[in-house]
Amino acid sequence: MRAVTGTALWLVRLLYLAFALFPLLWLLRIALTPDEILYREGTTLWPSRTTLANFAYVIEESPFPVFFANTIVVALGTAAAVTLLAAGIGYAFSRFRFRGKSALMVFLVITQLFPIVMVITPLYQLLAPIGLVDTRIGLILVFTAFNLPFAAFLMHSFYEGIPAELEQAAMIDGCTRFQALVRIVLPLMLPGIGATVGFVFTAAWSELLFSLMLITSESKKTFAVGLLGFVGKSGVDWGQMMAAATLALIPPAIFFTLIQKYLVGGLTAGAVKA
Amino acid sequence: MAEVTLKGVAKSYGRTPAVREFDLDIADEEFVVFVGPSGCGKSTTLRMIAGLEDITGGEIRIGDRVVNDLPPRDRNISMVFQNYALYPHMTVRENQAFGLRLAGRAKEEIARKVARASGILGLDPYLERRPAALSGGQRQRVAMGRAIVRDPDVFLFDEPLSNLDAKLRGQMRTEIKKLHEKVRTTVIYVTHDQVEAMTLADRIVVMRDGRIEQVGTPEEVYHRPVSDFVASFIGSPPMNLLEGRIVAEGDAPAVALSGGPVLPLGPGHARLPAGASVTLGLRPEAIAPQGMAGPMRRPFAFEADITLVEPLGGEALIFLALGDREMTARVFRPPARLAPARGVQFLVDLAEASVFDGGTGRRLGDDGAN
Repeated sequence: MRAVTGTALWLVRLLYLAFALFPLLWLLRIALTPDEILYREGTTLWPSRTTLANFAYVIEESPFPVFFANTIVVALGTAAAVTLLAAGIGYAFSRFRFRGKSALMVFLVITQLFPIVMVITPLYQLLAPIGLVDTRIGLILVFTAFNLPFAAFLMHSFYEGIPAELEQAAMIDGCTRFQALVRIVLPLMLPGIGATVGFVFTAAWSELLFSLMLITSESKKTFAVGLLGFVGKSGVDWGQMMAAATLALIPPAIFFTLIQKYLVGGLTAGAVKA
Repeated sequence: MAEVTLKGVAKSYGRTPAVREFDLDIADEEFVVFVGPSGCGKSTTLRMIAGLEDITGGEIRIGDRVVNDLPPRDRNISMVFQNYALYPHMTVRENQAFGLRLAGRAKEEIARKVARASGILGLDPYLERRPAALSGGQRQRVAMGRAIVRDPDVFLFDEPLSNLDAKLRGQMRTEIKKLHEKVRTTVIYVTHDQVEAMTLADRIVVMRDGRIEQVGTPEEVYHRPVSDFVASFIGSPPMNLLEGRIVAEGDAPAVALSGGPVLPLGPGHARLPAGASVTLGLRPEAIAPQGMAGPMRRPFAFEADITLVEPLGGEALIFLALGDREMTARVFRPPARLAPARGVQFLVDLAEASVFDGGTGRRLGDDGAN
């Protein structure tokens, strides 16, 4: 009986994996298919011939390397800014009693209710006079503003998982509040920080709407906006677009590999009796 | 090592008072236990002494320093928390050394102090382990080790045994007492468990609704509770509290229990006016069936029904119905034939009786004259 459920469970997992990975396979398949046979061969799981020409074009001839660099700057900048701010906000919400705290938390949730499209025009008018339209810093500011509430909530819940007594013990042991934060809380917050950084980086990495509206110069475009460049008047360069998209997956993949050990929780186990 | 003095210490959250007008002098090396039901303000008071809570009014002194506005790290105290609060990313050794390292002590000194504390608490085999790899009792010991190494003026314990199972709690209670014998330091210990209070304390502070209800040695608090609240809180099973009315004044005062017999009171209660409503307090061990009673100073005989017997081995609890109320008696070395029965002759030692005001619950008269 147990063996049967085990097998069934594996089957479900495999099915889910196939479902989740199929778009990636399709991406790679199109990127590797030579242009001239893309339409001729029809829908097959794998082309009869493959080529790296699309990748070569994207890397050597298209402006994509610049787009990638832009995106990395914007995504890392946003991740750093949001994580730093969210760490402070989450800490304040978790550890201090102050007037209007619950109202403020509700307000943070409310900001998440509005469709982003609604604010694009006002935002543009806000940023244009102060020269932040068509700048990477402007994009970082906007992304930071939009990602901060959720990130603050995320951090707050991680702080809540760390008993306040740990800091109090540290403060009795000789720490200032700040030292207690750095020496005791911070090491235990690494999973929370990892999760927040990962979440914000991914969101900023693949963001399209704001980047499309706020960035006009070719030299400042992010890759998501750049992908749209493959949609021409006469048609879509599917092969090159998919090659660029495939390349765009690499930085987040590397990034998550780097932070994944911090994403694993359970570090606080044993601090206090559950 | 130091005295701790609290003068008019108060704490309120907004308009809600948590602790009011708390006055207490704690002597050097004294073991003081704050006990009371949850929400009575005992933990808040402890945390104010630690500096983890601001005080709203009054003055706290440790040694000859007023510490009202000093942060916890400048008060030279140690604290053991209910949930241990061990640093999970540090080993047992690092947990203990943390405070000394912060203070910039020399390596050899740190090593020596950690070795001493670990030796006292039997932590040597676990020094390189993280807290997650320790049992509850071991974690508790590490928390105490971390407190000892710093040679504090005062030890603060905040319900340190509440998370342990009953057997371990008993063991650790003994260890804390032994520890205090070895490391003579002022201890302030918070618990809601009156057994811990009775066994550990030099002096017990019974708290209720943010106020001190009674301060005294365990014997005083047990035998001469200042109110029916203390009487019912200290002791297990609790003191029998029986409502009654004073029926005779002068040289032979007496109280009539509602629906029960008339009991003569000692001369110490001579000034109680007839008709006054009172609560009579009798410890379970002051009551016993005739033939099982020990020596009594002022025995009084009455008849009651045994409704239930709870044998506990060396002793037994007897539940008896007297008129319309139930009482508990505790007898030692009970005979095997003890069983529910009607019309049993009991003896009660009225020299042990406490009399409380029926309205305010305060202790009346002076049974020291009994």
